[in-house]
Amino acid sequence: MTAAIARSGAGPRSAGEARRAETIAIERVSKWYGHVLGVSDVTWTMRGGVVGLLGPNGAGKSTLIKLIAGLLRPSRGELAVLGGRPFEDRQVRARIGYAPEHEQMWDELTALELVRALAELAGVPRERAGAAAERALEQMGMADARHRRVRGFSKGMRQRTKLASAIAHDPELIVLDEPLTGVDPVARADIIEQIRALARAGKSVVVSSHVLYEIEALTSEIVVIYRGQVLAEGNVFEIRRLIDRHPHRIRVECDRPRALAAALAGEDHVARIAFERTGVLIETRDPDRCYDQLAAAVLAGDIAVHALTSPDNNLGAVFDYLTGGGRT
Amino acid sequence: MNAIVRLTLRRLVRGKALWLALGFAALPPVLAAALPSNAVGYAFEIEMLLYAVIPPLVVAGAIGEDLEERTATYLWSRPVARWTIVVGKLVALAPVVAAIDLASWAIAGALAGHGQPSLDALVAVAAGALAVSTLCAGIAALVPRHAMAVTIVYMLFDDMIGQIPARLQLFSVTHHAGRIVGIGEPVDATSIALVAIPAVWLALGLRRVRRLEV
Amino acid sequence: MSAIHDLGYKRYVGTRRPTSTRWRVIVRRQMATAWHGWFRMKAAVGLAIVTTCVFGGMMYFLTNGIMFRGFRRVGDLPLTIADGALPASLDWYRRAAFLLGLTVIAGAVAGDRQSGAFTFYFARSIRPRDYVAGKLGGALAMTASILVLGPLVLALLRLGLCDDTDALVAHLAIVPEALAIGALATLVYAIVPLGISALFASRRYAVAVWAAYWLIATTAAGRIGIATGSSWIAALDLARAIEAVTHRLFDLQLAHHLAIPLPAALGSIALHVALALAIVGYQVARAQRTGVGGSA
Repeated sequence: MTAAIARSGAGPRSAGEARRAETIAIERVSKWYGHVLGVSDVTWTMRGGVVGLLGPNGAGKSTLIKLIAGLLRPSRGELAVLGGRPFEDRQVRARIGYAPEHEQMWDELTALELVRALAELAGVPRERAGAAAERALEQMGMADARHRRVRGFSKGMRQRTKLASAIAHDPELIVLDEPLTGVDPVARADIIEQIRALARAGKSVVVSSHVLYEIEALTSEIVVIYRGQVLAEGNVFEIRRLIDRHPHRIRVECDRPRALAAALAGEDHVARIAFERTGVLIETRDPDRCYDQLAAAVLAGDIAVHALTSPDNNLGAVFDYLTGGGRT
Repeated sequence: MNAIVRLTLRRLVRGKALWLALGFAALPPVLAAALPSNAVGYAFEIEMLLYAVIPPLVVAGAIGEDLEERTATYLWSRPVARWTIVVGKLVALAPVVAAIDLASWAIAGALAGHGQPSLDALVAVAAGALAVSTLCAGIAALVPRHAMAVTIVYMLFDDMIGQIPARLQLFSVTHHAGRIVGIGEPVDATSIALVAIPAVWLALGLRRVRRLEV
Repeated sequence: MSAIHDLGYKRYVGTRRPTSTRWRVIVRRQMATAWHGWFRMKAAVGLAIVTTCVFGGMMYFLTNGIMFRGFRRVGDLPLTIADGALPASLDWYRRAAFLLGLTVIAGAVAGDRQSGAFTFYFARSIRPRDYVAGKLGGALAMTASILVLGPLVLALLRLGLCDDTDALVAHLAIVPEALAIGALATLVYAIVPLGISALFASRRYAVAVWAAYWLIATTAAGRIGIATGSSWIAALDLARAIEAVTHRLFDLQLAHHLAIPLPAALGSIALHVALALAIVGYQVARAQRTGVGGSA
């Protein structure tokens, strides 16, 4: 089951996907900081789109992100990004846009100066770097503040400026380390939409976070990291289905919960039925069958259904099941 | 590298390091103006001490600061060779340090009534400033977290061994800079140490930077 | 539907450390942090240990040799190495203390301002005076480990080199003399860089200003004092001021130095220390008042 969980999800779904095969190819990579293990024996392949790197604090997300961005070198194993080694190969780094987790920036510069300088350093010719920086800042909603010094920026403005610096040189792969940390809800929604727009434009995006609903809002393709190891990768719903040791829960609020329960109690996929104040909670090992039978039972018994939810069909539940409740 | 030079100079002008360096460099001229004419030699004694403060502040501080404040991640993730980051900052800042030292020396000399400084003196001050800046860049790349403190101590040590009348003097950058203007033995083949010693430190620093992870 | 869930958190109800003793926590933390790595306190202590071994070795092996570098007793009397090594060693202990100032003390308050640590300190019931006392205590303890312990070891060694009880009694004064000059130098090398550290919100600038002040500004004052014959201006050179006190304590005479009277030397030291303490106190209180929070 572990191998199946570790590599769930379909192969390339289109010609475009095939061309983007192995945007990132990590083969048994480990990274030590002295005696501390950052990531351990990680094997993972990314073929484009938006991938969420999920894990609690200290799981190894930032280490993995820095390995991909070329800031760290693997202690062991092979790592290829866009076909090359980012730590050694400058041409690979030219195609990567990286926004770090920390907030430190060159406070004495204006946002435009900062993004322009970084665009130049990323290879954009000097005569075009200014326009590229303006475009990136406008895309991130920082057009009005572009001539202000970074020193006076709020957290949200710093995050937007970081994102602008990551995209100004039009990279193929964008690597964002906790891009929504400290951002207010309005800015968060805006940044999430910007990341989605980047993916629609054909960029590959890796986003790390320990906040589950942020990843949920961005993508259903996840990599779960826990204690330096990849615990699961692939589509969150398919991963959930694979966790067969934890039956899927379905909550039905209706006017006659006992009638509904009686209709399903004899089915072999039903692990448990619990009655709640306004409905019934059903635990099933085969949610697809259960949903079909639910529908039939409701129709046959003329049961009025007020609400139908699945507490498990989200990243939080997946993460809890995988880590044994180790989420922070 | 041009982008790094421009970025470094812009940050220098916007930050406090330049103004502190100018403040320190103003002390010898103030001393020259305050002292009676038979004591102005003290002003030039202070000039030599500037080597222990201004290059570490401007050059070593600039290189070490990026690593300490983690802004180096922005540079390191760009497609620039790592050595160009250190060399680019050195190319931007060493002439500034030399200009500050030269101005301090020339103004102190004028206030002390010595008129125009001799070409030898200008070459000595500039060569010394460039050599010390290069040395500071190398040491800062080796020990970025304590770049300033280590380079200040190194320059004090350099100044100390430069005053010992023994073979150890040959390892002192400030001693060799002084020889250009006639302090100590005349310039000879061993004066190549003025270039060689900083070059060795810079080479060691660049070698470390190649493998540095942030 | 709203609900309050008992997550098992229970407020701590045991004994709490009195507020007035929390400065000790800051002292311990400061010293523990300074001991990390090789380039902070360990480098300075290493230099002090080397100094002790070199000058101690000189005292032991060259006991009756005549002191060099112009060290003479008052009245131009010769000074043996056994008697002169300790005052001569103070120059090197002070270099070690200057190094400690560069690597640890000058960055102590500036580093906290730079990293935003004030928020953590004053969000707890730490008062500004607790913070100042803690930083001061840490700086004094670390500096004393160099400037008091080192000379004390040499002083005890000097006593150990006495041939008989009469000589021992005659030399007993060297211990309080060593402690006195060590304590005075500790005040200077701990408090002055701490004051400079409080002026800046950047460790880099604080270290640079400490170095420039010590190496250039005070030296310049000393040179002006020599050139103009004013011992009070010369006393602003703190290194000279400490030397002047050393010479008085150990009855030394150095022919090539401008004699700085004891009142001028002590006055300069007191002025520097008071000014530095005032700066630290003012800057910390101001940071606490301007919205960092915490108790008054």
